[in-house]
Amino acid sequence: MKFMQLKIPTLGLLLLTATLSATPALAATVTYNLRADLGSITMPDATVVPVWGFADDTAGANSGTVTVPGPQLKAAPGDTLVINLSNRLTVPVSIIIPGQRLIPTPTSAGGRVMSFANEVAAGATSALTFTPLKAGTFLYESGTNHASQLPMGLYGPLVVGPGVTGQAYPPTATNAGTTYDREEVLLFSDILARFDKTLNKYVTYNSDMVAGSNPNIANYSTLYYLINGKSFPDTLTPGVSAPPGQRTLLRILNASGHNYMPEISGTYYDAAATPQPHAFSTQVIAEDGNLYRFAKPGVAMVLPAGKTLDAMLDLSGAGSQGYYAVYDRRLGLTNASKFPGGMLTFVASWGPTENCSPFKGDVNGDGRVDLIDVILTLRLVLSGGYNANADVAPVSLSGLPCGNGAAGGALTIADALLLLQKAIGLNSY
Amino acid sequence: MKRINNLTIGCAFMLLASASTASAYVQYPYDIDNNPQCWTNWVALGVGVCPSGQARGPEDVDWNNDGIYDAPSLLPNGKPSATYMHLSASDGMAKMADGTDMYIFSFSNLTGTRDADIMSAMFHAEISAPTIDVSEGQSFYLTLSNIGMVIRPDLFDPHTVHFHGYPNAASVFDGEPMASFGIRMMQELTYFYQPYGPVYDALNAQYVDPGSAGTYMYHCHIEATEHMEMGMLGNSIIRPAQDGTSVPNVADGKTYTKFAYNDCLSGTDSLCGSTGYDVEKAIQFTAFDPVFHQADFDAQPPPFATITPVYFLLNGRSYPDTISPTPILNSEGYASQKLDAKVTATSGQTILLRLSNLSVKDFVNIEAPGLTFNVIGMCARQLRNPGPDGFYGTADDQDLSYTANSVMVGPGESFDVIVRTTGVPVGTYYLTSRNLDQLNNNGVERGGAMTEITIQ
Amino acid sequence: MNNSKMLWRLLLVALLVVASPICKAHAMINGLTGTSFNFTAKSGHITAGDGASLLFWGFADTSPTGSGVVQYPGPTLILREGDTVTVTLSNQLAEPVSLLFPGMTMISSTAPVFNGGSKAKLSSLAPEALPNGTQTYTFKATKPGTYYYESGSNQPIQLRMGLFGGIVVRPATYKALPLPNVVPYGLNAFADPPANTTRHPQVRTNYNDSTGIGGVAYNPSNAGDLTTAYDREYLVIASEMDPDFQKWMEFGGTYDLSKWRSNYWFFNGRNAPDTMDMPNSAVLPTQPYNTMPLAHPGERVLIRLVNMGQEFHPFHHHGNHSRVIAVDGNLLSSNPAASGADLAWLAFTETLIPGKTMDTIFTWTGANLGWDIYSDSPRVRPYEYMADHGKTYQPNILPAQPQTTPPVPTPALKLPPQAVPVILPTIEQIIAGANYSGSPYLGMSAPLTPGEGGFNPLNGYFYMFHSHAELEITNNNTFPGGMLTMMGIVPWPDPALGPLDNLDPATDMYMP
Repeated sequence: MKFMQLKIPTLGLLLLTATLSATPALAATVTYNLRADLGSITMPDATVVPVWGFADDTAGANSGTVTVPGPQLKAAPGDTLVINLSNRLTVPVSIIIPGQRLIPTPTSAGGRVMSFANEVAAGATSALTFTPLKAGTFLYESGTNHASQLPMGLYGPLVVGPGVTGQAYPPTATNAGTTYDREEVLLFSDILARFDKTLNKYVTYNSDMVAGSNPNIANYSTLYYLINGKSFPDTLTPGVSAPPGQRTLLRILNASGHNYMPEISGTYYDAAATPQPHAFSTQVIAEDGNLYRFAKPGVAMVLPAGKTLDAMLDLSGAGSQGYYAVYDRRLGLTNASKFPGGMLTFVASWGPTENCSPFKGDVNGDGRVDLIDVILTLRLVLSGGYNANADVAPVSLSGLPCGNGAAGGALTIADALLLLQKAIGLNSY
Repeated sequence: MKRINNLTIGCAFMLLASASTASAYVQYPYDIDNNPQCWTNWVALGVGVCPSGQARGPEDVDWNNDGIYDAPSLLPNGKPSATYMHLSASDGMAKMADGTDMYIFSFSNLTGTRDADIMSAMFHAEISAPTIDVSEGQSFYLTLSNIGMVIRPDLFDPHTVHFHGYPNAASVFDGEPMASFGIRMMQELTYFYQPYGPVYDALNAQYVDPGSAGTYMYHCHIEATEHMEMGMLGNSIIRPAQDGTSVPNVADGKTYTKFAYNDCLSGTDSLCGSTGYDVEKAIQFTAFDPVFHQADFDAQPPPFATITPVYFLLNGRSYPDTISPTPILNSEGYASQKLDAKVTATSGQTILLRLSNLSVKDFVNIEAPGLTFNVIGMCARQLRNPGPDGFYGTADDQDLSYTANSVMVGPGESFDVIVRTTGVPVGTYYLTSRNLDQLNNNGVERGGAMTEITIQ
Repeated sequence: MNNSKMLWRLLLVALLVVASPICKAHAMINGLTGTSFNFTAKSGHITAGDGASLLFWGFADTSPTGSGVVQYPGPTLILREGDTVTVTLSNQLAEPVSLLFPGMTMISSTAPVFNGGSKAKLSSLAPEALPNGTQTYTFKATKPGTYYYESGSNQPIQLRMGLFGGIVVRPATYKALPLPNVVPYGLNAFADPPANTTRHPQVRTNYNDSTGIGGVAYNPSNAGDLTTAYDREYLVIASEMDPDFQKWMEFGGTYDLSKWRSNYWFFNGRNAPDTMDMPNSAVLPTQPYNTMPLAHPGERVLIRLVNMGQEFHPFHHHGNHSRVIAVDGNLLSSNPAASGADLAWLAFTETLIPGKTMDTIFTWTGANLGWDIYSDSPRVRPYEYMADHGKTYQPNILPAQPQTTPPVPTPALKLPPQAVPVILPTIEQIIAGANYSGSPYLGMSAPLTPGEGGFNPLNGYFYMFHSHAELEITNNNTFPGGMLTMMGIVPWPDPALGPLDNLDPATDMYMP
């Protein structure tokens, strides 16, 4: 998704930035046009869930599509972020960004707070300004009756930075590992539902909200567990990539009201006889946009509701390819109570010229590896033809069908044999 | 919740009062009203003339029978070297923010109450219970009077005070009844604690322990799941010996006289003043399941397996009651919830939030959008490590404090959070659970575990 | 707390303390050692703390010398740093099972299993053993620390059913250290590491005893680094069960996984009071591991904490703070080569986090109470705090102020009294617990009302170690139970009775 960004350097902000940080970039005003509106998302089991979310209206009023999470906003440290928020919902809405400067302008109704700040009435449009921006990973989210509105989908990620290319935060003497080669955003959230005995099916919190009832959140439990608005296996498209030899910054956010536990399958394979112990390591380097004094290594991360973490997935010492699971250790691994699903995705770790996908071998693209794929491959072997998807042998020492495509690529009987083993269940790769 | 029949209370009161043979025996070996012979009010209240010798008042108790009530000496910071508190344990009602009365067990403050009036605390349980607030170096005498339950006279439950987190506790004063004992109904028990200051190793001329200051909590540990769900919970603070001294904080350029911890054990300590504050608030999270409380009210077995909290409380109140400056009155007209949870500071002041959680089930992730949390303490210890040499205040110490937008507080945990307001826009911010199901009052939206932080 | 079963179990506690052979089996972590293991995944039943029988899936040690009995949690693997380890998994369950070893360096394949190559048909996160099949895993235990293994298949079901276990990796320097086996106690015993002084009587430790039970959890930074040294160690694996889920798995019917709600909470596969029963108890054949920490004052007790459940559990220990020295097998250190555990923190409640481990060191001395836990005995006891004793040394319990020069003891300040400074209630006024000796002093006793106390033969101090989500100290609607045990501080033998070295070398426990 691309966004038009208006960068207007201003003298005042320039000075402000200069005093706040040593960021060499010019402070700019970054403007986004967002619309809060009704939309829907579809779960892997084809359930359609109505949502309230944010849409990117850069191309014109009401032009964008509501997504959950909302569009990823980007800006540089010291920038001024202006969000022109158009509210097409029937209730007031707002945007706050915990961790960024907020001018408190609360509104109330019935003697109780409605919005913490930045309220935009139903049908209205307002320019919301956040300045100066602090570097890091942040959630932008509704600050209006948020216990009610956040489960509907009114949240998204804001990435501020890097101030210096490839450097998540200015490194410190004790937390020097802030440089990265590539970054991925993983935003965790969920969909709540109740089981309706009369209808004999789950009814989502969102459906009840859209239907105009005033649901009590206590009556709902989590039915779908989402990463970037998707449940497994939809999370694999496009999925997460972290090539060996590189450092990948995972920007991890939790927009839900529950506490989750992302765990990266920390097993690591290296063909060398004396593997480096930290060849695969995950280090949480920052929390809520604040660089830790010391990075925290570990295989699992505590991700409470509303929290953001920056985790460095360091494969710079990794000697082999891998396909590493990222999953919620609190077992949010189901779609409507069925495994597999939920907060589960994989980190594809292989080089740019390689393809080690465990889904290789589906030569005819029918969604499975079977005898037809074996026959098609055999034909190619006999005719001297090539299909990268059938190039599965040799299997890497980590057990992935990397093939030899990177080394020139030709199909041999070994590929067909391996596919045959796969098709009849003798080999899982 | 049913209305309480006043007649029931009266009958129960008389029953228990007549059954009472022991009177309150508050143990505190010092004179605190400058009358070394007896308690001045003993005379003023017309109870009797001031007797000689073995006279007892609710304050001046000559526990060692030497006939003299000495004033406690003063600590270097001017505070008395001894202090005491007298708590009752009873039942009562608490008013939820949606108007529901909830049957509770808890403590109330009897400090200074004369013997004959102690039973008046029956059915006056308070949530949060009165705050224990003591200083390092003070000998602390805590008397607990178990005065019985009005609604549940069938429950002959003992009670205790568990000073949760107290370091190197001895079993006898730990309040955990398996390893010690609970006090029977109509009896008193005095606990003794000696919150200690920085421990100096004279041989090495270094501090080996920064002292016992910190944010604690207390609760009854009898049938703990039941008595805690029923509300026998309170804040507890030990203040550092450093309080009263002026220590500049290098980081923010301010000089403080109040601190969460002894953060400046040597002049070269880089963390000097880092726990200093101008305004503080102890805020304790808990949660109530009215079904459980009703079952106790109705003398039914406590339904542990189905506990589902629907009231999420800060200092015994849910929003918007959390911000009320006046006590919340229960349906009996008693001020059952005296503590608010609102924080007010002027721009530039430094706020210390002492956050704790005594829910029997729920973790709470607390945030205040727009404000930044500097987490400087956890579990009543400053987030620092003395380094390889084991000595505090030396160059190899490690600062373990961190900055975040929110802090997850588990049941039985405490965190100390500094919020600096210099340069922060004035106005009202909201300190709120980010666990979204904790933000309603039994289904009424915009309630629960939320309060205000106003910066003027 | 008049649960008769609880009292019966506490009687066993008493036995543990008195009988040294049982102690010997106790003050260590029960588990399997070696480099080659045979596991079989199968089903069995456990007995909950309230007597309920619950279906579970677990692992059995089916090596030639193994018990062959499926257990909850699975066998603990006790490995050495640098070991290359092989685990052969046989599967007698009706669905595929696999093993993940987070934190280990895998040598065998780590590829996930997608049936038919279909994205939607994920079967396992690692190579799997099909029903009646086998799978072999090879890994290197690269780093010392506390770890776990768990199923990588159908985790929402299989982890709730119990397919997990603990791993302890001992450092290469475990028993070969230049650490002192004798450290001073007294005034400076609270320094970490203890200050180098010979002014005080000394205590023998287990850190470097080739026959003893102590050691180091991680490789020390230098000869003086005692930050991970311990005298006794215990492993605590937390987990939980929803009885309705377990019944559904056993008997079928309708069940909504989104409504899963735990009502049994386990330490090492047992609910209280069974946590305090003996290990390998005949009445708990599928739950061989207990949780019953015991120590003398001043000893360092390493508690390795693992959460294999899906919920957060706030692990609260009475008595004192613990020092958290490692998380997920990573020493909390700014520089492991030089600084020891200098990023460790102190806590009285450590939240156990699903899929994470924590190593903590607990020490209790009774220091700084303002009274002497040994009453007015003229003798100085091991780890006795001089200021509390108040006889030999200048008290340093002064409420000192921050200053750059050492505080000068002020004569005007009252010395702390040696005895408990209040009059305790009479036995008629109290209801005493089973572990109360009747005396406030360590090693002493006094009469109690018949039927109270009695389960504390050496007159130790007991401390509840439990989940502070207090709902979790119940067993499916019955209090007490769940994640609860009693930690015992057993008095050191009286030095007047003989040298400390007369202790049982394997357990260091005093035998009356």
